[in-house]
Amino acid sequence: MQDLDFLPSFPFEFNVVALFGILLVAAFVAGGAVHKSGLLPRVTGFTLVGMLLGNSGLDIIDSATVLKLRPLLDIALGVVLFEFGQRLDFKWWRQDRWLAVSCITESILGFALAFGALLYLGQPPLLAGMAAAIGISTSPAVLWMITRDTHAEGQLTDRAMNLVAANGVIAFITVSMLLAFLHLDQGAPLRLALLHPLWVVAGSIVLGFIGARSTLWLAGLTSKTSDSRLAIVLGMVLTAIGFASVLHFSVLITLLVFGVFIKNMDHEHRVAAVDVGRYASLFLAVLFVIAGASLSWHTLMLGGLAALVYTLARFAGKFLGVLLIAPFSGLGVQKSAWLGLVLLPVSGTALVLAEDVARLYPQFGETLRAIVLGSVALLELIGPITTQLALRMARETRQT
Amino acid sequence: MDEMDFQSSPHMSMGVELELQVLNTRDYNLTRGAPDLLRLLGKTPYKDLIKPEIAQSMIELNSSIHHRYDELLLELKALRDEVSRQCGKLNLAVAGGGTHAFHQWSEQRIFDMPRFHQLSELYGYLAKQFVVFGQHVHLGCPNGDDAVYLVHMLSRHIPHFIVLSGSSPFSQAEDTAFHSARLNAINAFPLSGHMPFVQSWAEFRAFFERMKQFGVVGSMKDFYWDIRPKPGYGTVELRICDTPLTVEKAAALAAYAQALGQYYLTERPHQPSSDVYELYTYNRFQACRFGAQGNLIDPYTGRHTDIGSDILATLQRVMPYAEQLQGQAGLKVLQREIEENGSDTRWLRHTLEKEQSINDVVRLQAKRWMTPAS
Repeated sequence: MQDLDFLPSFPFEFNVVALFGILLVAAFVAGGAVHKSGLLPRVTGFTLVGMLLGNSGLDIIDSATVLKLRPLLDIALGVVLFEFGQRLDFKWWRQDRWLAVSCITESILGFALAFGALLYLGQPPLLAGMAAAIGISTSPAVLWMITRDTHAEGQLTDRAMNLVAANGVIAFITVSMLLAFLHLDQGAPLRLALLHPLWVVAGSIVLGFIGARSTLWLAGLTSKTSDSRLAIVLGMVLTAIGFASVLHFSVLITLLVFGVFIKNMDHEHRVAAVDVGRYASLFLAVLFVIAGASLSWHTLMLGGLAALVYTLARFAGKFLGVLLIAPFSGLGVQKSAWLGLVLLPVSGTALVLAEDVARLYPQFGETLRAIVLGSVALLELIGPITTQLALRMARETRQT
Repeated sequence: MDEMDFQSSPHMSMGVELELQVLNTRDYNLTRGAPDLLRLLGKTPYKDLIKPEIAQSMIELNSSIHHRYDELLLELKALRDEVSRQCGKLNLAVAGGGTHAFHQWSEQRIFDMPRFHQLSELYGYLAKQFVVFGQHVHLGCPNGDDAVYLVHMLSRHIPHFIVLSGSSPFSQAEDTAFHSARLNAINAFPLSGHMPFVQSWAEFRAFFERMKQFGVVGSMKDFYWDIRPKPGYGTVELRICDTPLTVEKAAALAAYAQALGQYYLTERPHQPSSDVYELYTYNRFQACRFGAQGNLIDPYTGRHTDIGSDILATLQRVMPYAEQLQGQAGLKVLQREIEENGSDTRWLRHTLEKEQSINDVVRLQAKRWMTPAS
């Protein structure tokens, strides 16, 4: 060993752990400051930090950084989707069928209007379909953070969670199915076009099922009073996230259906009261910073009119979908309107979906990303604010 | 008309109010479901019988006025079924029980109504800790003097109702070692306790006017006594009971109160005596803490006995009156429970022992309330 080899080489590179730590601190310092103002949600603070550090600001977070942090972002989304999956309670659907109907109408109408609008603007059908399918999902991360921060609780909150879980399942599976057409469109062999979506969807569902079964079994081996159940559930969630990415399944589908299976198979209530979601906030904060970093005037411009029209059409569809069913559901018309507003945000999940498609076919992905990113850019700041507003107006947040 | 004019009611008619816990179905914590639940129930034929309470995680069921135990029970069952049905639509649950087993009082939210905000303003954290769940039984009285007499007589039996209805061993996820921890939350209020020793309605009215002049109270509602006359309804209101875990038990408690009322107003076995109140807090504490095993000192004879035995003896004594009123089946429910050494509190403790999870206790408590007994 030479003289000074023990010293780090210069310029030193941040490793992923340090980077995560720094972003976390930055997020909560700024988020706290914004939150203190009392007007804006903390999430908005996270996004602003991202914009400051991203390519429209100091340019500290670039795409290489994002790639490094991807495993941690997978954890963030995975844990949250697992929690959301557990909100998809089919027993509730059986007792209030209109809830199921409103989920289907808002998903279909949101898709149809966004699809139609993009076609009208002259976008090719496949692209329009893919973007519209991504738009079926509402950001679970935004809803999660806002409800936690405001201690929101009530019918609007519960129903929003249920709808976001369900529209997530529909969106993720539709996007994967559309991959088949994308493959064919790009000249891939039929076998690939059929097997790839099948691998992703069926694989994810099977993995989610195995995860749920084994988690319930393992939880049954331990005492309810100990903390071990929490550790088991969290451990199994992380394992599932890891396996899903190793096996090239969809982390989103896997974890969401993992949660759904757990909720609907846990007849002995083994893990019903286990709250792994409380750990999600830390990871999610960094997710919002990263999402903020990827925004810029440039992305907004690139998306342009298409992104704007897509965003409006999607929202109109979702809002109408919920409102049409309002007279029949247990929520009442006024609260249903607020519920429609809560379905507005798009964020991290949409980015991940667009990125995944772009990785397969960069050229196709470019336009798709422009539209989706443009929409995210529009909503990243507005979405959390409207969600918080809706929950406040519905009087479901804790009094301040 | 003066609010203190005693409205005459049919002799020994009865009505019941039950405060219920509104729960989410994930971890069975209290949840702010009352506004939505009340909105749905507002579309049902029972809309006038279900009311908001101080907290958004609480609703109150009110029965109509009844003369017979079986009719009361029938109505309470119908109310229970309707509430359960509407809860299903909202993915909520309701449960009996005097306290929520693990809820943190600081998370409580006050229902958005002027009176409740005033209470919250006045009592601070006590208002939130007051989120406990009780059963009130109203007994119709022909006049105010009878009502005053009956309040004094029933005071002797307060420990009975604590023991029979006790369903609150847990508070803030701890076993309190009490048979009814709910009453500890009520004791903190300045106007809790018992009615002063007055001998007639005129005397009571004078007392009330004095308190009103001092500005201590604004209306009868401000007295949180264990038993109080309710001139507007023409009743004596027994407020000591925890909400039991089933409607069957709630109806049985009302039948017992009715039989006691009938016995006292018919036989008038004792002259009212302030001695009852010398031992009042001792006997009351014994019941709260130890349940049926608690010690009771009879204020009229000075004899010591355990509360369980005293209940059985009293049930025997008033059974003929229950038969007159066709309420004997209700009394037998209570008798059986004491003989078998059972109670709702015991059931809750046993369930925790078996399930090892406080969330599961509340889940099964809700199931017990919502599912008709087979």
